[in-house]
Amino acid sequence: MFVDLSTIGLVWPEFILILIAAWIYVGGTLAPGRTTWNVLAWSTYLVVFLVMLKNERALWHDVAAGLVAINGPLIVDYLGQVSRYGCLLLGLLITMIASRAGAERLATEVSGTIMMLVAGLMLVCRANELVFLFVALELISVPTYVLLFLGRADRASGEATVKYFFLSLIASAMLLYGMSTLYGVADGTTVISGTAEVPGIRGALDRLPAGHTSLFLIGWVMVVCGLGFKIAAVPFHFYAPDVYEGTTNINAGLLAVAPKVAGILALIRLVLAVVPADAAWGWPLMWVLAMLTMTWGNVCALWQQNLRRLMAFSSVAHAGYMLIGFTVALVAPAAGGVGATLLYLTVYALAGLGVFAALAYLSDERHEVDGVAELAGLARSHPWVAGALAFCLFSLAGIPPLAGFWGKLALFTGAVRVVLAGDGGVSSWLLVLAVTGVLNAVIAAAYYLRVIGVMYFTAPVTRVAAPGGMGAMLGTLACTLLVLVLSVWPGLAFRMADAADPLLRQARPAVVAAWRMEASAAFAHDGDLAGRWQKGGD
Amino acid sequence: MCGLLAQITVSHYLVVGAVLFVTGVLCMATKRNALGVLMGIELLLNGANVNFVAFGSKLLRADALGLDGQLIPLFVIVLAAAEAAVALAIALNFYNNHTTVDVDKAEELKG
Repeated sequence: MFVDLSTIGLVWPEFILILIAAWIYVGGTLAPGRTTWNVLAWSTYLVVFLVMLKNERALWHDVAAGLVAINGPLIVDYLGQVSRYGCLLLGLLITMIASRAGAERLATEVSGTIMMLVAGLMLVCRANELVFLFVALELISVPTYVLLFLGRADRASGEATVKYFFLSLIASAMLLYGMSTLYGVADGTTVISGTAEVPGIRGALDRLPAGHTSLFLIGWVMVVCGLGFKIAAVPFHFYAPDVYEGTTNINAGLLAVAPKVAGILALIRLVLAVVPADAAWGWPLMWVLAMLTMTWGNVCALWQQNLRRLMAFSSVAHAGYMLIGFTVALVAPAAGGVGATLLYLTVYALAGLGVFAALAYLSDERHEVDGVAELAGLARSHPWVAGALAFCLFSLAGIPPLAGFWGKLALFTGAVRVVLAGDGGVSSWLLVLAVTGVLNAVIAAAYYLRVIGVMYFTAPVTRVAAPGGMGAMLGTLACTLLVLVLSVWPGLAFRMADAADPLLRQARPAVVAAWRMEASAAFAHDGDLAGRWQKGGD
Repeated sequence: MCGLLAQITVSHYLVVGAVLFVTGVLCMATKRNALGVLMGIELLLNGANVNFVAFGSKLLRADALGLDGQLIPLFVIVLAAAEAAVALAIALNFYNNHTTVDVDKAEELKG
């Protein structure tokens, strides 16, 4: 598309990350060592974060006022802005947790690869073009394969890597095939949400002749399948337990968070954006996926004895809850389903990463904590770690008033609100969905509480060493602290997630060709929204 | 000759793409050798590439815009090469642990 210098100006943080990552790769071979390069990686994330904050003040003001700008392959809006900062933070946390990962000799490979992955995540946040989105998603997948490969050198790890690699590639190919169909159906444009001059796929689909609908459906379903793999939705979840079990705790934490964030963002950007407003076929597919995913994940997690398998099924279940938000958004775009999903994604990512960080703190490459029974008596031997782990698990279970509860509340009330406002047929289906979600939350509490019970009420069998290092400890504490902030101050998260909902944005005609256009006064600056942002986040 | 060519439309290319895709799926499902499975993946990606080129071709569709349809396969080909490089490392690692590249031997993790 029409790449100009302003596009380059918008993606400079990603460029910097990729350059520093390349530098870490090369420098690591010349001067091996863990600490120096880890410090470089941490300071890169911090410096990029701070410089972005300083440079993008005008941009923040525009997007907080509800402005949506399309620049070449990028879409600049509130969702993209917030999620980019979130991804940088995620990168900092993961690098911290992985500061002792792998062999000393390969330490720089790990931190460099994580940085590439973070650059990919940040690109997905604002992708508005088919090939840009695909390449950005691959920039997440390929580093994930490398990290799985670097994790450990035993039979289980090799098997987990092969499984993830091949299944992930099938999913990518399905996504690409679906994209090619969308490209063909939409008059040969690759831009997803377009402007008045360049209509984009969304605009082209509104003028679609009736005969093309079946081709479009094939493309849409294949895209959903490909992205469903990334968020581990049933029936594309079967890799998750095996891969999590086979790899290290750090890699399992990465797999539980990074592909899920990317998959949810891509679903919002691509799948929701290209559904015509009056389509009656979108929500039943999401409804079935959501029902299957949460129920199957929670029921299977009940009898798992391996911690990483348990967390794998729990991550499947959480993907199911997030799909409730998508179902709501497909039934009633203005009901705020996407905002609820984003809130839930944030809460899940922090708590899930916190759990794996705590497990990483208790493990090293010689011995990974595997079984639930190994945590027996952890509350006595490592009270802080046990406390943080229990806090994150309570949040995942959705015990009020922790952050996970607010996320579930937002999702379920979104569904119930549509039920109360809606007409007969659809609303009864959504009521079933909301009730199943609540029942699932109850089932989920059982297995989370079992782990907490083992930590607090069982006598220790073997003394758990904690060789994971300060980085993992700091990561655990940081995740727990962030979950705590979201728990005691959910209003901030609610407001930001609501403001980030792109479906609410599309209601207003605020689409421009270049984000710095001085004509921005012509677009609807919503004073109320800007005010809310000033109160909430600044 | 010219008349024969004029009858070829986008749909014919779509059939070729679909056949490539299905062949790739079958190849991945039946091959036990990890490198054979990798070839199946190449077929999958190329099936999608054929679609992109056909949809973007000015010769087949009067309303095709720009060169996007031809450029996307170039990106995908480069990606496939990068993935093949990672795949060889992963297959070598698997061979070191299992002394075979038979993916059916990847069956120890279950429950």
